[in-house]
Amino acid sequence: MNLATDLGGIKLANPVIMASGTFGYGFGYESLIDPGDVGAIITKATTREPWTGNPPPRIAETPCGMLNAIGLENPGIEVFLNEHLPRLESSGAVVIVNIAGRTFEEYVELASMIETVRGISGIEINISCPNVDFGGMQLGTAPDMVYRIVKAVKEKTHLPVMPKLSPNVTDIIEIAKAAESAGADAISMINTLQGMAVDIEMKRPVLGNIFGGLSGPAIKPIALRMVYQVYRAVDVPILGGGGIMSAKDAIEFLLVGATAVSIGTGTFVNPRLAMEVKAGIEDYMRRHSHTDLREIIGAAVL
Amino acid sequence: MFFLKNAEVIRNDRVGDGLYELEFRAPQIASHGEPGQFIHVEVKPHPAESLSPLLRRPFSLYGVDSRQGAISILYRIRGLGTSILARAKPGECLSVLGPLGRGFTLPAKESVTLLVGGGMGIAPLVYLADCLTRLSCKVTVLYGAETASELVALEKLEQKEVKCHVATMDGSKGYEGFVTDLLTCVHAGESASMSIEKQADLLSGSPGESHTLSSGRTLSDREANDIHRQPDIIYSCGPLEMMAHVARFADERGIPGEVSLESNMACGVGVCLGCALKLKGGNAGYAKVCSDGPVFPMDRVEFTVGEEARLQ
Repeated sequence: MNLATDLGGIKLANPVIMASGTFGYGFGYESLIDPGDVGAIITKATTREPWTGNPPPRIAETPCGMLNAIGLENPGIEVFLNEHLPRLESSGAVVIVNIAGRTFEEYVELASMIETVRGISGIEINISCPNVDFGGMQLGTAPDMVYRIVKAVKEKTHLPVMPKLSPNVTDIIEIAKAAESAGADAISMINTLQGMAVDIEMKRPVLGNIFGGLSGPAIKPIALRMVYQVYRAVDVPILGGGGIMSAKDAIEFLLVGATAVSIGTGTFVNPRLAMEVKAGIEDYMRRHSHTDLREIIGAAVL
Repeated sequence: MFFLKNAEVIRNDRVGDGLYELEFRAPQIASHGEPGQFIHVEVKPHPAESLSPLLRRPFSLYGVDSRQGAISILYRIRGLGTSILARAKPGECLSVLGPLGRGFTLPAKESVTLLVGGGMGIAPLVYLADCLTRLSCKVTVLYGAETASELVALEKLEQKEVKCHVATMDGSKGYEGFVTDLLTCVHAGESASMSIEKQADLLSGSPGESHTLSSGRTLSDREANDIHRQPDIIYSCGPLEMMAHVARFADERGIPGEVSLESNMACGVGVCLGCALKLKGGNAGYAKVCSDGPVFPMDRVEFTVGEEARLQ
């Protein structure tokens, strides 16, 4: 059985990818998940300089989901390259670096810095974080901005480039087309949906940042719908995810056109979820007499 | 090192009004769990496979029996998660991740230690007390609660080689008032023949009622000397206001101390960065309660009252 897949030039042994911000730099879950066993690891968003992130509280549980407003806290690209990447590389993991910045120049500089190091297989451009003033969602909600940043990053690197799209847009197809025409090798979707929670006893928003990003099974139907729409509109492969809690959920994403699937919030609930999803996809393919993953990608798109 | 196990519930006893003690069979967690560390427990309503509540719930280790391979937690029903947990029956299995976090720093053998716990905050201190007595430390516990029936760990504490003094807000047992009022008496060194609860009554300006409020237990001179020697280290867990008071007390006397904090958490292992905490001094960044803590040096914590974790 062939679970291998190609995400715009990023060769994956299997289609299960650890989503950015939910798996640190690959070793937070110690022995529970070997980063070399999943298709790829997408790192926590990395910026040029260290970011301290948002004031707490940063998370709130919601029905079938959670809100987060971390604010892209990270130690900066140099710490990532010097301290985290070597260990990831030696684990045999396929590493995709998620980059974020406050200016176009910062994205471009990050892409150039990554270009020169070994052990990185692709770049995910974070243009969809709802929790920062600039460098997140604002970049990802206007098609011309998406076009400009994808093009600028592409010009600086030979690595496959994959923008992560925000669902907080009027027309996701328009954004995806802009990314594709700028040269994106793949599209990652979806980031969190902007939301909020209120503490009625304190009479104030729960989150320190007021607004946060909703993730978890609550958003799965929206993510599926958007992957379906984008699959029909563009030719580049899609990394699909949003609320995957089981192999069944992951298979739904593959059937609506995702070439690979990302596991995020589900890992917090079940740290072994990615391995269970991988095994469950194999079971499904066996039951349906498929021998190659490509046979099921987009199979439910009418 | 931590583990992900389907742990069998040995018992899940109601020990007070809305208060429960849950014991799991989890040999690996029992043999690795240190005082102050926590477990991250999946809570699911029946039937299983529900997606709400989504996240695990963190609980400090309350008791660890490594010979029996059992661990226990103490909890109060505070919301959806804990109310579902309270329905777990013996024989059921729950997914448990742990032991997690950085626990208490154990002192040198035979140190004099002071533990100050309030409400459910007593939980990690009970396991800590076990470990301290194994190190032949002198252990004094100041234990506060709203009312006598909420002093659910008292029996366990009294079975140990520790001196335990209690305070209740309604005076139904021990000293009437804040447990932190007892701190001054622990340190005073005067009136060694008087129980510290009684001293606290006197100091708090309600001498007329003191004899009825005090537990009546009188300390021997030797016991009093032990208590009145300045502790080498203070450990505390409970409401922020209480811990802030303990931290001030320790700071004024130059005594090192540690507190165990709580926070809403998603991952519990330091990857999601959700349980951020601003520490005094150091760099501009945030510590993470789950992985840098939950135990922190008292003098590094801000104790911003009103920011109590909104846990369910």
